[in-house]
Amino acid sequence: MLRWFHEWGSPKAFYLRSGKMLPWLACLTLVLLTVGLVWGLLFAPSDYQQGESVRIMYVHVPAAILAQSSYAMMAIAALIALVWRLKIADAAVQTAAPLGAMMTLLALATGSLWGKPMWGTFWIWDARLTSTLILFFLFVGVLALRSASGQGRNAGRAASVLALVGLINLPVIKYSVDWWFTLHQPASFTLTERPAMPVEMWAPLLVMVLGFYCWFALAWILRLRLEVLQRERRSEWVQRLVSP
Amino acid sequence: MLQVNALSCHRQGEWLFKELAFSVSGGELLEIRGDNGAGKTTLFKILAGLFDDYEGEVTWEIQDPPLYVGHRFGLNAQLSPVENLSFLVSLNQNAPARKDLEVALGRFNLADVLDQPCRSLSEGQRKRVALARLELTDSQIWLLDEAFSALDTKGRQVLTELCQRQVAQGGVVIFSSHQPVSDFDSARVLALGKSV
Amino acid sequence: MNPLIRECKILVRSPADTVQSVLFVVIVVMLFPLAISPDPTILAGIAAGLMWVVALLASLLAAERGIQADFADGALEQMVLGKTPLWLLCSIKAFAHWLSCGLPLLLITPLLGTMLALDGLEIFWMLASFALGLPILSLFCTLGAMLTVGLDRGSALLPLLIAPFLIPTLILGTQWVQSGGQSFYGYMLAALLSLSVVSLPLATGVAARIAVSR
Repeated sequence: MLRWFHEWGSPKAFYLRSGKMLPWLACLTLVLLTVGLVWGLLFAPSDYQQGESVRIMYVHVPAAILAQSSYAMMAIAALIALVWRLKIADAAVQTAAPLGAMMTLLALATGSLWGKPMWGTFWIWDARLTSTLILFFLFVGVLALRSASGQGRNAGRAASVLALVGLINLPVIKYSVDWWFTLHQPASFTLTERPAMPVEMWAPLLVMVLGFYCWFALAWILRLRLEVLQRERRSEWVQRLVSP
Repeated sequence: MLQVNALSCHRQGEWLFKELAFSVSGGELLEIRGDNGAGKTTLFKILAGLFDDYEGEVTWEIQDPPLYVGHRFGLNAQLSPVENLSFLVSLNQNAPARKDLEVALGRFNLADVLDQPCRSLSEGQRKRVALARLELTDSQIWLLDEAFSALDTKGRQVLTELCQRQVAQGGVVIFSSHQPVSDFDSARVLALGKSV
Repeated sequence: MNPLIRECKILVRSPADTVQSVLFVVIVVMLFPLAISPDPTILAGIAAGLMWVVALLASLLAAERGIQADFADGALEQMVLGKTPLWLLCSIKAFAHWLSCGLPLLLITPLLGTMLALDGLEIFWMLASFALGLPILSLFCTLGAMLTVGLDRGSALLPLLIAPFLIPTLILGTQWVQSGGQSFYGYMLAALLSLSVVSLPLATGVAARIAVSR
């Protein structure tokens, strides 16, 4: 396990191996997102209650799911960075934070767009929207702390601690927001937890979720490769790569 | 007691030092010499265990953590020399008695300011308060960064005596300086930087 | 000298810091009747949430105080190097934050409650929620200060990093008062407090090591 870590953890090995994976991942992402979007936006049935506006779901739900799991991924990278001191893990935290923040913003934006036809207003203090907003600030916190910490090898460690504390606190925050919400608005309608979604609707949704995950992996790896090149710009292998 | 192998450290892409190797055993006095920016302070922080962004090995064979006196003395401005010293010593061992504190501070000619808040002391006085810890500590290793600068003749003399006593008892003193310190005849010198 | 006594002495010798926290809270609370309405029913309706928000802001404002001084004068380095367990020293730092900010706030709660037209029972529950909740704020603020100390824009960063973590305390605290003291919220707040007391000083210790190695 540890050896595997170190093999992949060296920036050079990561750069070279991930390069071979990239075309495949890019193709997979493209196919999944195209299929999912066309299926969801054109062929899936509209909702008898919400009409066509339900199609926002095909972007909103994957974005919301990805936003949460990207925080978990970032925090796991943070743990690895703190415990094993892998350089690549620190770079992974640094590059995951803006991506996660972006996903959270997308979830918020689509959520509020969906809210307009459903609730008649762009923003409502719904439990899910509120905890997504808080998640956004957690991402922003890690991002801000990381960018204020500078470049050294130890610079990322404070942000990693913050990301980990955030992961532990995330359930607490989520549950407390849920309590708060049920107290103020008992028995209400939430966006996605609906009784039995028909298969024609959840199948394209599943494709979209998978597509989003692939896109995230792709974007993360691309950013990581860039970061690795920048950090290792003085090393021999990068010099050779740049000037053949 | 201390073994350093292939120690390299860089900051902002510039090597501070490369492949540094030395060892120190009990009863030795080591002077680290180098210009400003040669990496003396970084080396001290590495030896103290404060800074770990380096390559190579640093091995200590000691029980107590080394005693480190750096550029910042750890003296709270609101507290008096007696209180500050008592706090700093008690981080590592039992709190010293008031009498011992008075003796230690008195040796560095601070008997007049024992109970004044440290914010009213001069830089040189504060340095001497920090150095008075040496009298009270059990630590075998002393790491004194720029200990001799900003000290008057009397202060230098007291510090020299303390260091010599520590070395005679089998301890280790590692100190740095800009200019050669002539007070010791037995100090080994480790030169840092390109100029040497 | 015991680190706890050291913190107390520092606090006693710089009373301006504590006074500042108290005055800040009183002034901000005074602004609300002026900005919203002096009507007692309106004020009493929002009082719990309002006092909690103000307490949160005051805690964040006071977060850096003790830590910044220790970092600047090098005492933090000595604490990290010493044999005394770092989590213990960090707990004491959090306790000092509570002493200088949480405790005075608790003491003026009856006054604030009266300003916001709360009745005696509500003030009692407000006191109870502050008693359990303010230490949690202090623990998180100490962690935040340790994470940002020594950074260029550290003090501007701190509220941004830490405020999201204070939301559960805020929710539980206000709900406890607004529900008229339902024991569920009290238990949850107590659980959150014990969890924070156990875990946060450890994280703060890690943050302290990182801070001195900058």
